[in-house]
Amino acid sequence: MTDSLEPGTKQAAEAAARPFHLNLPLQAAALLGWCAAWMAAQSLLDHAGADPRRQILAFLAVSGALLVALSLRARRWAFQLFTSVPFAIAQLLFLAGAVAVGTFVPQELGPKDVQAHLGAAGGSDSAGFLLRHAHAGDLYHSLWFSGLLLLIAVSTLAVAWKKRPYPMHRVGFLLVHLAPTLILLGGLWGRFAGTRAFARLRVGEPAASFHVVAGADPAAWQETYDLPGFSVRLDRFHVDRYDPRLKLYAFVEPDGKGGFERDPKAYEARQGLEGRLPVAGARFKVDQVLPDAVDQGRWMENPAAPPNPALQVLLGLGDGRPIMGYLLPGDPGTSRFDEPGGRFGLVCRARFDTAEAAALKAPTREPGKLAMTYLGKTLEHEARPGTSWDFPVFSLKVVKAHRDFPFKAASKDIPPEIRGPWLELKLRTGDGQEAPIFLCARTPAFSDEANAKVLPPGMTLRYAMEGGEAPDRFALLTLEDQKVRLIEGGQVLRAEPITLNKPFVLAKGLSVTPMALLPHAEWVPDFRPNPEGGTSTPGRPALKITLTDPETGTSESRWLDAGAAAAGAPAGQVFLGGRVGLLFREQPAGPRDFRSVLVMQDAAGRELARKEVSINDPLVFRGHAFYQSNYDPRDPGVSGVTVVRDPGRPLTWLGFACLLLGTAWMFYLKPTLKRRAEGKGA
Amino acid sequence: MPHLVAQVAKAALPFQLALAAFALAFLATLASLWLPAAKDPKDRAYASARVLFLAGLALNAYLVVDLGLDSGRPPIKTHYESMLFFALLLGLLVVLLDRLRKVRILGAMTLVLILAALGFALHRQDIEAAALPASLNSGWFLPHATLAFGGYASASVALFLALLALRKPAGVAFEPGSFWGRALGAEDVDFVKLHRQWLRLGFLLLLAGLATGALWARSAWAEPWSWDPKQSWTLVTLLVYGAVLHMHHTELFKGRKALWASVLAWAFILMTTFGVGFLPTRSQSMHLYSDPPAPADAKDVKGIHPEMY
Repeated sequence: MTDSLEPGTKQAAEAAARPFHLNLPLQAAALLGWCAAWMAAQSLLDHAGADPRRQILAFLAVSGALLVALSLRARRWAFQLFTSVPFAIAQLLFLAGAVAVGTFVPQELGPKDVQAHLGAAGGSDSAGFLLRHAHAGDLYHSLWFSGLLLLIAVSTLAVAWKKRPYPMHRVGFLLVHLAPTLILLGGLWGRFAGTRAFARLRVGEPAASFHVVAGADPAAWQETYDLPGFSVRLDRFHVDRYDPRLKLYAFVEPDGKGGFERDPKAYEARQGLEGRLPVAGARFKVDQVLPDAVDQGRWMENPAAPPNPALQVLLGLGDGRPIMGYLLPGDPGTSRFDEPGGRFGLVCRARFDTAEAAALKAPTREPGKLAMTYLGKTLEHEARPGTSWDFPVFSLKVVKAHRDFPFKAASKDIPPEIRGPWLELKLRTGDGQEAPIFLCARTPAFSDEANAKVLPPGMTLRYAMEGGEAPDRFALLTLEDQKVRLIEGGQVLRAEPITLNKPFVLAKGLSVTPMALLPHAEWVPDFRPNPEGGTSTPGRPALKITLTDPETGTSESRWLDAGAAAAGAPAGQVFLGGRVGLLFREQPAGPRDFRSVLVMQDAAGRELARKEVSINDPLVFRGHAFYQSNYDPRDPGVSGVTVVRDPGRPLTWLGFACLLLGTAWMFYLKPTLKRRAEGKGA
Repeated sequence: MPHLVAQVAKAALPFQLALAAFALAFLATLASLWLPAAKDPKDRAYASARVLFLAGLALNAYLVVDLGLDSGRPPIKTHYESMLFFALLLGLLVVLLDRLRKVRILGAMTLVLILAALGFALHRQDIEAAALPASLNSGWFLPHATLAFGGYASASVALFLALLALRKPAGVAFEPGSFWGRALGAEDVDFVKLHRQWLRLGFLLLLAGLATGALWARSAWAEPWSWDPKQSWTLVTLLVYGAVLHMHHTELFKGRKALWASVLAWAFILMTTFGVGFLPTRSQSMHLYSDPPAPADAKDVKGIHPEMY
């Protein structure tokens, strides 16, 4: 702490006999003892139930008494010790060690949490005993750590006192040695008189009460802090996001089986981009980039591809608009197709399985819900047949649930609005009159109109079935025996050989016609710009790329789909026999900033201050600083705000400034100023 | 080895050229140390080393500027960027030191560290420019990181000088034609004094980095000091370097002990730069920008959402 303060000695033999203020090992032992004493004191105070505030008061009182005692009984010895450079070194290293230890143990935890985090070490063995009594879980607020800081403050002040007077060239020394005390006093003041509290604010709702941040677990923040005479209201919350970017990743060390290395080469995907891939040496060119595309590709037979049978079928639906599609028995996602109207399902399998065929029937449904809306309120009742829903002047009895009643056997085509499921009810009024009511789950507007005459004006009744359509009729196509079977309710009603281009009739107007069988089907994508413009049909980015191997001259051109990973398809594609892997994706638009418009208002709701706070830009009002600190990704109307009041902060900043300025002064100004002073003196 | 070749192949062309220039500069410096004067009378090996060193530095500077322009932010976010930035600062400081001609081995030592930094950058290449988290979108970013990395670079120069001071105490002279005679130059440099000057510069820059970090933390994390593991280790490093500076002022440690302490203190810079990401308290840190915690590991710290620190 001083320039050449010590006369010292060079003889190693004298080391053991050095006086205490020059004896580093003894000083280290004394520091250890000092810390151990405060550890014991804090454990005793904990045992006595003293809160942290009382503990620090006790610490200050005892430390003050010790300093007074030292100044009265051993002033010279203490002064010599506190101003010795070896003691400064010992303290700095000891403090460094203590700070470092605190980074190995999770901080600001309760004793039980420390024990849980430390596992076996936090148990009853000696290591656990030491960690508990060293207050390792909140080391930086422990008394023994405070004891080290106090020693540093006392030492630096003593050194500053010793080096009086302070001509200009020594001012830096003074500033540096005053700084620790200023910083520590600022911190102590903030700890006693300041607060840090947190609240989740909801748009439009003023809040005056915050939860005091105490410890790492927000669930334990029970104490509240009330804003003095004002409240804060969140007017708006907004998350700024970066623009999404389309990226092309080239994996030049793939294993040929789809395994790609961790760090591919990345490119900004843009049309016309071309270059040479590192390692693999292949040239590439981005032919086309479509930011919003739909895949209009199809399955094609590729004899070189691995076996992947696909059956092309044409569905006749009785409306003159047949549907063409493919069924792949090897792919759970495309081996079954349910007709959108729910009238039948198509299933394609490699071979016939009796048990699976028996399971092809509509599942037993839950009865669904009966919902009544009247005078702006909606009430619900279980739609279980036989149950009754009673009201003061009328009652509703659930008579029967009809899966496809009553038009199934009609000779003409059945319009969708009158297909099942239906719920049959009986309305009984207070005067004993009864009326039937039918509710259509598929097209409720149809039954609303029919029931309007029976129900009180303004009342609507709805029948809501849970789950999607579940057909009871299936066409099961099996490739091994080349058969198509009609199954209803799990029963095989009819079977015929699969004959290409020959319709298999399921019911009047409903048919399935096998058109082609592709033993080695391969999906050939063909992306086009989304005709809907992304409004109704969700599109995704797609990129067409051509890779050329300069050695063989072979070339491959393919589409890459940015939505492949989300759709469960392989995220990357391999090219040139597995030498290159390519992946195209949209880089997610991460948050760039979070903004809350905060309004300070008085008890009468009058606006006192307003500011849009964001990360790095808090609002300061009446000594309180409001920080944007949290949000709820699921609720855009909520913003987490931290309020901090720290009256000791100016003192802390003054300490930092003294330390910085003083250090620069000592290192760079002092020599010049000293020379000038000596010149004047001469 | 094939993986290393692949990593080099995947690196940007200026990076490959800078790496080659620095590696050749290192080899040329070594050659200039071992080649007898008779075989290289015009000292061409060392002249080549200087040119290659400056070329590597220019390419390094181009890379840093290019990364900054590409990402639209200070290029000091990831390990890759940070290592390039550190290599640039260290190289510039050594050029400023202007001892390359007189203390050849200092150039070689610097190049070892620069190559190590670039090797690490090569190992941790950025796949793409990382977007800044909200808290790093601040005017404090560039001054804070520059001061901190300037401190690391200055302390690294001090490390080299401490090692040289240990090899050549004051008053010791080597034969002009010997390895050490060529390595340390003909001029009688007081390495102890020079080391202390660089130690002071490193300490001051680290302190300024800590202070600007505290000012920034006040606006980003709601308080200047929160015992974040990164803050704590910066403080540990400062305290250790503070102790080393004090050692030069007491007969108990003055001389070789203080120099060895300076060498050991550099390990704390390594810990502060790389080690914090491996601490058991990493999940409580808000300062893991180079090694962000896995999403499952990231949680609120003092009420601050992981996306906000």
